[in-house]
Amino acid sequence: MKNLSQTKNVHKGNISRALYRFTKSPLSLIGLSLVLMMVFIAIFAPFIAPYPEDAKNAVHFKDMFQPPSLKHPFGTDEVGRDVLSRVIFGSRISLMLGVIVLSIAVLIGVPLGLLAGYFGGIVETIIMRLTDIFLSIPSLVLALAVSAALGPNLRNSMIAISFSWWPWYARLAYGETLKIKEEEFVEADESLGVSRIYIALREILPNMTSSLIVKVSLDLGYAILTGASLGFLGLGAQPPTPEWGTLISLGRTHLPGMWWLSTFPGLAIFVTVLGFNLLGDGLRDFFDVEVE
Amino acid sequence: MNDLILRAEGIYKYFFDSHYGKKTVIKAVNGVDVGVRRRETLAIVGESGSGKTTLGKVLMRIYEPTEGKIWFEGNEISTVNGSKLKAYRKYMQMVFQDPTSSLNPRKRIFDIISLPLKAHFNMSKRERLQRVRELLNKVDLPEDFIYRYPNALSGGQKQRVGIARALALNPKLIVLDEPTSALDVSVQAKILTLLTQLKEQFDLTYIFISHDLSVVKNISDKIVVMYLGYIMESASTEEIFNNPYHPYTKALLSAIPTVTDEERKIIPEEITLQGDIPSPSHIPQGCPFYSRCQERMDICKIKRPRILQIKEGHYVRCFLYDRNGGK
Repeated sequence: MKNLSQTKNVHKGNISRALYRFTKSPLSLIGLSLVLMMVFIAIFAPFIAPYPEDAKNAVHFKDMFQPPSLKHPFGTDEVGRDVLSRVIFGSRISLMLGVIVLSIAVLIGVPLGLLAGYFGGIVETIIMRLTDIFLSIPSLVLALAVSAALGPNLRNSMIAISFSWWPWYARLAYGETLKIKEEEFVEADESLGVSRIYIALREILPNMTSSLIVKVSLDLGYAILTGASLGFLGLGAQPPTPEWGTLISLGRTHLPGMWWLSTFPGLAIFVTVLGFNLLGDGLRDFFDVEVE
Repeated sequence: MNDLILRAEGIYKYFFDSHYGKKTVIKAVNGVDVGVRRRETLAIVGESGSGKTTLGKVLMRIYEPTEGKIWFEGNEISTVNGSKLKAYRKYMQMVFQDPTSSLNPRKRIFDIISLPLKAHFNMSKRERLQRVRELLNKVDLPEDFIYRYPNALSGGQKQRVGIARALALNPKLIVLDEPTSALDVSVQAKILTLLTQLKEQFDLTYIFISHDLSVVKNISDKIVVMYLGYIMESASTEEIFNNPYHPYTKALLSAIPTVTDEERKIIPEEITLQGDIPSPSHIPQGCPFYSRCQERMDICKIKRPRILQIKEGHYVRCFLYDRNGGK
């Protein structure tokens, strides 16, 4: 077993070394810049988008189906809305979806995994078998089913994706807890008379934060991708919400002629997912942890 | 009898493991009786796998014994739980083998040492700071270590922090689980000296677990030699070194490196133990030590010897000294 304090920790002394390693890896830096760029675009969307009103229900029939031009760099759609503006506003939806889905997944999964790993016995059996059941269903299929049952809209698609996502965090937290539990300081705390809840939350949990951060950053891209898939299949955000998956789905009927309708939202998804993946890989080296 | 601070009778500790439906029982401790007098140091000695650490953790009630009873100052603690057990934690503390693993790498030294204070007393942060400084002084560490992380400390320093943490609650008894085995030889001596000083200063009682008789020689009053969860021999330190009876004890003694002639007089001729200690999940039917014993007899394979007092305070589990035991 690896010793926690040798591998897992980025403390004052090691932080500059880890930072150096991070900055020496061009891919991590590219990932970080892509993510920062998307976050920036999402925050300042109303100021960046050339036609902010096009993100909603605006209609300009005289401009419909225009190919990319200086006036509309990504072209216009079937009612004349600027695709660039819609893609820019779409970044808000996708990032929000990713953050909310993963927050729910972490908030449900981590406490369950911690509980199962630390307390063991019947608690462990119930929680982990439940987790196994969830993991045995392909997550997209599960999300589709939940979303269809709840009624397709953005909020329900987030609930649906979280529903299929938390078991991964339960499993991660469970595995980490089993590993950390073997460290002597947990036994030391027990022999000192420290309560088990305190040990679980204040002694074990902090030792898995780096693994969690890495997993979350890697998963953000996938969560966004899943959200877009639901949108594409008509079970996520509904038009006129400028969600990327929904945009691709709407543009699909006009392919290949009006290629810009689907291509640019697709590129936006590609860039965002790539950014999170590269960043996640970089963070994994930074924290020097193994996730799965 | 009444100055025994800790007494344990008939301690068994089994671990049950089920792997792919195949159940195994690991018999780590098999019917051990021990008693420690106040202000005494009892050493528990044996190879790895002899159950000595498990015994220490059972006595500390980190593990619950499968069977047997433990008394601390006359009160039975073998089955207490919850707040009652927590009350006893104040009097009994443990120092762990691996100083790195026994300190949470995410916590500063202050948080580590003050955790027991936080768990047991309603002390303000200022009072705790004061107390932690005091404790660091006691273990000869500079006060400004309180804001460091364990990573910034050497092995010896970490072990001193572990000792400071064990002292925080003013315990009466400390179980030392191979406190020096992970340290360099030069550091080992310093830690042992510190432990001796602290014992004087705070009237402590020690249970010192070690695989190395030479470490134990100068610090312990009484030695218990364990093998596969059984006590093979127990006597005063002097007796064990001058009059060892059990072939296993002799083998352990012969493994101590000698330098001077005087030392060579005490240490018996070299006996090399063949093979490894058997697995505690498959303890041999007869004498646990049969497979490696130099002086084994036929009976040792069939029957398990009993532990017998052959002198005042000297107990041995061996048929060589128990001719009637086989009948």
